[in-house]
Amino acid sequence: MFRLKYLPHREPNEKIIFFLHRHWCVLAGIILAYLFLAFIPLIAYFFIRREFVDLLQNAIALIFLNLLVFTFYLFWWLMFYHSFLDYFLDIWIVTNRRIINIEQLGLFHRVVAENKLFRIQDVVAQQKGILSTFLNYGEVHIQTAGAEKVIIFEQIARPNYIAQEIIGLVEKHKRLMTKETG
Amino acid sequence: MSIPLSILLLIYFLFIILFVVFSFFLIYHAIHFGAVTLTNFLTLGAYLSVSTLILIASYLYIATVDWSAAIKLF
Repeated sequence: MFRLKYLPHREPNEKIIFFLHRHWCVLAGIILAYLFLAFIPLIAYFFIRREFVDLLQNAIALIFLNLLVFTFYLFWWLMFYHSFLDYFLDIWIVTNRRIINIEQLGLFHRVVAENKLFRIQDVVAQQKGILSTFLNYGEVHIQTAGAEKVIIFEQIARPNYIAQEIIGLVEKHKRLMTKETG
Repeated sequence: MSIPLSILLLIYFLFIILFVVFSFFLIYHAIHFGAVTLTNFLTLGAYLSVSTLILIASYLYIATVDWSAAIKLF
């Protein structure tokens, strides 16, 4: 696990300004979806009890169905945690020196990109849809001069505020660099 | 012709092995790539607890079954 105060290649006087995850409603959607899936064995039980009554009288079939239910819940729980980690391991860190974009794209696919503030050219906040408007979440698109041309903060809370703050940080950093180079 | 009932248990154990392998990958990701936060520890703890509970429940059920019986195919 990484400790927030021990950022990799930490520069002197570097402070974390934002440590961002996706908005909580994304996680709420995942939880609701998996809660719905949890009822599948129950629905299947009522269906079998109605349509295949003899099956439940058969001891062997009952053993098979019970083992199937245990297997279902084991993998349901596994996939639930996998979906949670997919949400939780997407992190965007904004410091007073750089922006770090960490995205978990799958179980064995992870992208970590870092861009210095002086490379940032443009910052755009975007909110699309009723839910994102009322819950105040959206995307922040950051145009850079680095290898990764655009960094996207996806489904984060307060995108307009974050965008404003990043613009402020970039301007402050540029003024500081101008002062240092004379 | 009949096959032993324990074949269902064997298939179930294979699924458990698969579950354990993938759980290992997930736990590795959570520990290696996750930040040191309370949320990470709590969710990891919850995952391990619930997984253990499901496995214990299945063990308690498996212990009540007579696996020496046979499944008659035809």
